[in-house]
Amino acid sequence: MSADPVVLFDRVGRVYEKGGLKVTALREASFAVHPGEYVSIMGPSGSGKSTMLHLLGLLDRPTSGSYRLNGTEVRELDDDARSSLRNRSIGFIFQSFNLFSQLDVVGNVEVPMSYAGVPRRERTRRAEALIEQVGLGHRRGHRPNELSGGEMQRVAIARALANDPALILADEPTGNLDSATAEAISAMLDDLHAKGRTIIMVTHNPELGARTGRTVRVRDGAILDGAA
Amino acid sequence: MGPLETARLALRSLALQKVRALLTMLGVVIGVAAVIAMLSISEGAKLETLEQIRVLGVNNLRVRSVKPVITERKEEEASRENWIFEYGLRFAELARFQTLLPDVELVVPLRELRKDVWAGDRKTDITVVGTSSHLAEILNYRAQAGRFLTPSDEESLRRVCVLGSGARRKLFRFQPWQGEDVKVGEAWFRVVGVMEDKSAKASGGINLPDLNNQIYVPYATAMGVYGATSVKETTGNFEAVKVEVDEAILRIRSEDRIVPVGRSLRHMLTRAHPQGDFEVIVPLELLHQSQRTQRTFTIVMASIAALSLLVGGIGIMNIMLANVAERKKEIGTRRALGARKRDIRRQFLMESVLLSLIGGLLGIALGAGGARLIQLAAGWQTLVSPFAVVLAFAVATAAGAVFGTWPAIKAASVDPIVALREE
Repeated sequence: MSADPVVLFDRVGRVYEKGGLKVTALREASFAVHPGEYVSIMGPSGSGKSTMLHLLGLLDRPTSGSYRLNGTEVRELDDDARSSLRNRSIGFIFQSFNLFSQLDVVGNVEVPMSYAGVPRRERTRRAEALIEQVGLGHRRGHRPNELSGGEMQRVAIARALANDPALILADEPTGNLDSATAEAISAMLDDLHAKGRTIIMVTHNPELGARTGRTVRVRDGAILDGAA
Repeated sequence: MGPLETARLALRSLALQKVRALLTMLGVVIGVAAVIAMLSISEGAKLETLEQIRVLGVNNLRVRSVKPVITERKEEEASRENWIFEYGLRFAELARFQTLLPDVELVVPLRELRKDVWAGDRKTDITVVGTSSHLAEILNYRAQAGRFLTPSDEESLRRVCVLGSGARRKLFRFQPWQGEDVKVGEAWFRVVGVMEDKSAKASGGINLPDLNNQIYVPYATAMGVYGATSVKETTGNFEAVKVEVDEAILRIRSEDRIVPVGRSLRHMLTRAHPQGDFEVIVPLELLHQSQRTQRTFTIVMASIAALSLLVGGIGIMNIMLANVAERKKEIGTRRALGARKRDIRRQFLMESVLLSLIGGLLGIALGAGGARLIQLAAGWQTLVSPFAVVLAFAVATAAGAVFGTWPAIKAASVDPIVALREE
């Protein structure tokens, strides 16, 4: 691994204040993810796994330490700058898909590009190509409520790829799917990894964790192993 | 995202819950509709007053004979003694107006003759008016063919008549009228001219006659032929009434003298007619009065508008706050996908503005339709002015923007990590 890491956590800590009480959610977490890696983060609930996901996704700020995303130090960035970095560099895949019910499939995939200021025509062209790529060309004009769970997650994957991000963050991507569909979605993630995408997946499903190249284990707000 | 795209997204979001959106708009719809309907009624009334003044002439005053209230004793007297009820202006008085009030330029008498007008063997509803040659001049009323009455018609008591355009149509249709005679009561009059079409809208306060539906004969001839007494049969009673002049139109030398002349005239007439059987109408006063009413009306309307838009705006704010609470997941997801706070703020503000804007449009349509209905049902003239539409639209939209601000700020402050929360 010679290239700069996509994610570089250096003694990252997150302390919450709850009614004058300080709660440490994450303590001195250091790890790196390099381009093309497929990494899973595993741990029981309350372990600090979710906090790591929020920090990785720039939805939350560390209270100590340093987080470099694709070479950029993000700790001091303001809200707009983090939004913009999130928009360009991170593709989210959620457990419950989080599609927008007022938009059709193409419209959903276009959302990240619209916040990036991609012109309309270009946006639609790229969205349609991505939808074709996840095998939903025949569903492009449908609303989310007309799709099955597996189809919705495939739309979400296409949406995560819209701005060609450096990092894909998946949060329990198969948690709301039956096993057959879950397998198809896992295969799709494997395929993305094979094509060179950098993926971090948060899960507590050991089977799913085993498919990734490396597993970072978290417990009680600290990384147990798999940091490097 | 540009404003157009934001608007499209907002429309789609609102379309997800159409009934809720419609109910939310209702306050604004009703408020705007009420304002539009009321404004168009008052606008119509103003137009009507102006129209009446225009037809009557701004420089003119009218004095009308008014039948005084008959006391019971008098009525008894009347039935016992075959009494002729006499009231109103005298012809001789009219000349005095001009000598006593130097600002009066012209006086034209009008005497409405209650006589049947015959077209062949058919009775018509045409009104016969005895008047002087100056009527045309004072009302700026021109003959379309032939001529109007002349002073020599009056002096020689000629039995001639001039037809209003509507009267000509009724009497002759497409036949030539030149050299023909018209039967008025028992007498015949030679037609010497036909007047131009003078449109006068249905009248409210001033009670304008329809000039087109009249036949004009020389005043002196009319008095000579028919006299001043007319008999009217009402529910089995014969009522004999003697009126010399039903109405006089006075032209005043300059516009700024109209109101003082009107005052002097009232003073003069009150002394000569203590029973109050007259009425002085000053068109300009009517205009001022209508403007005063208008002002009061406008203030009341503005208050209603402000109140209903306040209520409507609060309704929008309430629903938008509920929307924000329900759509936290959408907001968080949008933030996760890269929306900045201001993108979220714009999106939700746009929804509020669209709600009130569409509500405003619906209200304008409803108000204009309501005004139309009132016009059809009550016969009032109404006018939906562009000013009212623009005002209603602007105020409604502004209400949406004002009351949408807080929900939009709340939406923008939603913590993006809710996107990842499972419920």
